[in-house]
Amino acid sequence: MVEHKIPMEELLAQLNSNITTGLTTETYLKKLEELGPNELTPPANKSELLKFLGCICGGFSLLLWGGGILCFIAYIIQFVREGEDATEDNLWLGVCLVAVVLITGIFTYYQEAKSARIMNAFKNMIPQRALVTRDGVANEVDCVYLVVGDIVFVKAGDRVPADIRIVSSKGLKVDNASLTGESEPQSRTSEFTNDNPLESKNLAFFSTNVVEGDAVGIVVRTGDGTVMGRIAFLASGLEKDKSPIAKELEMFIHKITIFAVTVGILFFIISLCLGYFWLNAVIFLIGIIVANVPEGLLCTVTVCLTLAAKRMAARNCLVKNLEAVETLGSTSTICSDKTGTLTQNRMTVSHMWFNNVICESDLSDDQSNETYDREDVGWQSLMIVSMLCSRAEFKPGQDKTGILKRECTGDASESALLRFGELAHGHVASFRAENEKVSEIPFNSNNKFQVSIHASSHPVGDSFYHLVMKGAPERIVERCSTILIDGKAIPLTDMWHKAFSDAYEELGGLGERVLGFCDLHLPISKFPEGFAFDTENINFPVKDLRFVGLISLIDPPRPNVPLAVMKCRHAGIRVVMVTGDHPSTAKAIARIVGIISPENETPEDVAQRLKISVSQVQEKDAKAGVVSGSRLKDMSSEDLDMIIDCHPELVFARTSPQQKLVIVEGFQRKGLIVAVTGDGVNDSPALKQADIGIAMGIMGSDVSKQAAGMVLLDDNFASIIIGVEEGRRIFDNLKKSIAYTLASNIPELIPFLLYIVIGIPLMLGTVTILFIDLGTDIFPAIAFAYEVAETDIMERKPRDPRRDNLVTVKLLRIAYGLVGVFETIGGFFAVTLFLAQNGFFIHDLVNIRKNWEDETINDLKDSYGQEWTYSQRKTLELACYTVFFLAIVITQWSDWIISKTMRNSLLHLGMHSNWTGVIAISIMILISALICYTPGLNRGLHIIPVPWESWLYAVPFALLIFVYDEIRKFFVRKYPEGFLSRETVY
Amino acid sequence: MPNEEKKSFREKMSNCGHFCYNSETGEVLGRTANSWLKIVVFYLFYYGALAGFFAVCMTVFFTTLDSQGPTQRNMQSLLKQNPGMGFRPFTDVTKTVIKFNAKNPTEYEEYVKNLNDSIRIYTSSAGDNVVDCSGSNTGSNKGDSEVCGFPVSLLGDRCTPDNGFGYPEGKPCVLLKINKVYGWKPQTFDNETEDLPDALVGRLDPDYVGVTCEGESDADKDNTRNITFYPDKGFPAVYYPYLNQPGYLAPVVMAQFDVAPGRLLMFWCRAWARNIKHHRVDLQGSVRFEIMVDY
Repeated sequence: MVEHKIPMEELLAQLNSNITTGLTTETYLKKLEELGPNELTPPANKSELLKFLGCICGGFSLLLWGGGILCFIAYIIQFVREGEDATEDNLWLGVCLVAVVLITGIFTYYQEAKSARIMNAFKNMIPQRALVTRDGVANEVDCVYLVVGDIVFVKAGDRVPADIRIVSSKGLKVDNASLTGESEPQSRTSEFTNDNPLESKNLAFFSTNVVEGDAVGIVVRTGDGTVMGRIAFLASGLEKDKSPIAKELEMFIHKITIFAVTVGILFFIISLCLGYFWLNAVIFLIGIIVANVPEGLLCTVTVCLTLAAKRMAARNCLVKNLEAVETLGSTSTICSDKTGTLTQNRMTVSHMWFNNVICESDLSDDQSNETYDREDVGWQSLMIVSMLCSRAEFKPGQDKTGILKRECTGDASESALLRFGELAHGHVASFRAENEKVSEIPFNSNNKFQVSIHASSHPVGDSFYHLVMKGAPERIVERCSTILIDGKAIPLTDMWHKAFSDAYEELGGLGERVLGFCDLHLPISKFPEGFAFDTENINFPVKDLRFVGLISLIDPPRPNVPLAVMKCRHAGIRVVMVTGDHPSTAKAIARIVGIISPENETPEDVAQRLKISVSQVQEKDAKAGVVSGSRLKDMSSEDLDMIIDCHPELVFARTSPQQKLVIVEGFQRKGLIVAVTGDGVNDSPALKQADIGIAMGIMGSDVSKQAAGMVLLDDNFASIIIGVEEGRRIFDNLKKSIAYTLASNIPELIPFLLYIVIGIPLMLGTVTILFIDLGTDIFPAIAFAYEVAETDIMERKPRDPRRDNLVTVKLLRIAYGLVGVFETIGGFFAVTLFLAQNGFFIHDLVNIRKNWEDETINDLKDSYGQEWTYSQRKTLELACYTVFFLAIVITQWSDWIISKTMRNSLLHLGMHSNWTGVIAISIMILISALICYTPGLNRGLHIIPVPWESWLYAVPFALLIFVYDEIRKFFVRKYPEGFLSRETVY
Repeated sequence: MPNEEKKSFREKMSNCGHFCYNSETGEVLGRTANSWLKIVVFYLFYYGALAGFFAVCMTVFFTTLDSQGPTQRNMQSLLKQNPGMGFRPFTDVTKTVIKFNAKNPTEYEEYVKNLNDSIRIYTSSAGDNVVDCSGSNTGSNKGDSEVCGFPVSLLGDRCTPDNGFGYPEGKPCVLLKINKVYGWKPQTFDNETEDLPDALVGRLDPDYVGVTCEGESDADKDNTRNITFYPDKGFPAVYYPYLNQPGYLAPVVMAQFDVAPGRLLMFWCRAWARNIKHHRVDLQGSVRFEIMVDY
């Protein structure tokens, strides 16, 4: 960028512009066409069709598509071979499978579209307008229609409409916080001061705020070409890694798919070896795949996440991407911006030094905590000087707002002084009116002070005018010869110099910005009323003044942040500060909010204590560390890794947007899941890089909100804790839900295997399996989303994404090997019972498959010598499906109840913790009854009415599962480190 | 790039090997021997207990079963008291066709053998509890444990092993039977006023379950010269109900088909009683087969 370096005339010539008349309409229109509108290109969106295709091909869909297509092929082959007589079972199964894929796909698409709509709400910002001179006429136009070369006028309260070079300014100050993270407003003039455009005084940047003064400028960059546009581009250029839950699900889908296909192919080969016709073997393959795939699971996950997202939105955490709901739960590191996130982004008076005493400011509304004497002359003088030295004013219409929360015009320090004056002294405006300002030298970087002269309403001695000065303490003290102590001006001796520097150092050490104040009551003899003060050729004293005191300012932390940081630590989450602000300020705030705990020292602290140089301190001896951006610049990634490893408590200060990114990547390299909080444009690349970016809803810039995955609507850092808790809870609940859902896969699979291997009639049909997965199992599975959190949820360490997966071998072993087998035996028992009562003993059924399935055999003997026609046998088979189905429903009931808790006894927790769940399992029974006894509906799902007793066959097993699990949980609680805890708690 | 992949593959294999056997900790597949022992014992115990519970449940349940007849009987049974029918010879499952050339004994000897086997239980020596139910003895006075004997003479003299069940002369006999359904007792028709097919006219008897066979299509009917039944009136009702008596003999009927040669004819045979419903596809109360005779 060179626009700030070249002389103005050259620039104007280049841009075809003119300072007074601006662009001509002709050039303007030409440029607008050439350069396009002044707005950031929004990130490219995937087309809706692609999104939809993604939904119906993702997850298990491909497997089910495969199954469906095989079904159609099987039907076509049968049709060709047998003509009209071909059974339509395969056709229906194929239609069912395709319907399942489409329905779940449409559901997922609908959910995603819904959350996308929420996100789009952010994009509709209110259009901004700017005052532009074109053809010599000033007009307000939408900022979008600015082009390079436009002459614009900006004033306090505006947002800078594009990158502009200042042509002329009147005390212009801009707040670059959203760009650089510096909370200090910076003055802007027409002079070129630095090669670095960010540092040069003659540039103001797109989307920063004008806090004071006004200026005329020429637009030099627009839209994506602006500095902010480039940072936003840096953010959008980052390829977003998949969210942890998405990775978990993907891994899970892989595992299940591999398992399903392996078992399927294995039995395909076995059935071929057993001499089955290949078409039948293919049909078995489909059956095994259908049994193994938890069709309803992805819907369940989506619904669970949606419910959690809603719950969080109700508590002011807005989740933009559904999957981000869980991410906070697995977060192990939070990299937090300081200004506006941890702090209020509002300078506030925190300490004062007068009468050689440092006292804390009283910020209570009723001024009840005063630590100083209000009648004290020293305090009163300091207040008078500070009130008169501040040019800030309250914005109108805030009479009802608490004083500390009122918005002001003017820079942050002066606003702080104004607020404090209003609070402690009161009626600042009328006091200023009484002490009319007659002359002023504004602050400039050369003399580093600001002085003003007022007609005094409180003359001291023989004086009419009161001169007040504020500025950098060391500069102020240089200009003083006396100091106000206990109401008297006494000579500023070396002793007082020492006292001053001690106080200055102490306040500075707190990370506070310190201002010095001095005054002088001008003797009336030399300066009578109406004296003409000349600020160019100073004709009044600016030396030998009376030192009044120091006031230190800080951007205080938000009140609930320290508690939130403590809770994070409890939950095993490391909170790291990453800020653009100065190291000392950053460290001070870190200490206050607990990011650096009181007992820990930084290497600098150690050096100071041991009186050695910092370089002699071993990094690892200091638990805490403050690393500045300049040091970071020279570090290799190994060095950064080392820093991250050896300081558990870390603060990064003076960092650039690029460095924030590097820091986040550093943590991610360690396999940690990183959350980043921030509000400024400068945070947005890091927000994007993070596993979850958290933006501030009120103060945050639009770019940061766009880059983030989550927005805290109340700007409250403490809401993150809610997010963590919800995230962990949803992860636990998803685990429970998956364990519950997977358990029924085994009783769905085993009947097939028995049918193929030992040739007994099929006990559970494929369509019925689909109905279990999508009909009866799905409501209880979703109801797990409402399950209360385990009691220890916020005391655990964050999960290790490499080991503590959503679906572990252990979970599969428990769901398949323990509960699933239990359910299978229960179902098998129920069907055995039912068959025996109808005349077939199980041992007589072994290897009966061939005859059983033979349509020409119309008189198959049972164990009592009765003879069954083919259709009677098929009816019996459907009855078996029904009985097995009911057995699964009954045992899944029990499974749901035991899955509610991992450790706690259910007798202790009770059922009332999750009424939704109770309703869901009741609905499950109702649906089963409805399906079983509604004519027409039941036939379609291969279910027929069965005597009511058959509902009870699996009850002993359901009860036993419950008893077993209570015993198991008892031992798990009794021996938290024991075998059962290790092997049977997922 | 290929280099990297190779490395990562090698790493994977080495990780895998490490997983299979970790020499540092002595872990095999991620577990130490001790850990393996514990988990195996746990699962053995778990499955053992489960199997035990299953066995107990089965034992308890089987004591509730009646050794004589199924628990679900009468209308509770899925057989719904509506028996199907069977036919012989039935030599090849999946095929219900009887197809032979009368001039070629090898083509029908299997059918004859199958029929012979089917009626052997009627000719073999009768058990102690078999009583004679023929003639005036209607069997109403027979004891619960007694069953009626079924003399093969009832099957007439045209369909006997001696004349090869009519196969050598191209007039094949087909044995028809009603499926055994526990406790089923036919409610026979006692007069001819009912809406019955012509084929039954004159053959109805209250002591018999009537029987008919007909060609399925008009062509099948046209090519059927004659069908004769032995016993002509059908299945004697005296043999019912079936109560799983030892040595129980289900009554059978021989149907002799005199059909046009060289055509595949489809037949639907039905048993007739008030409580038999017919269904052509489900084969309720009926049976279907095809006959093709050449000579």
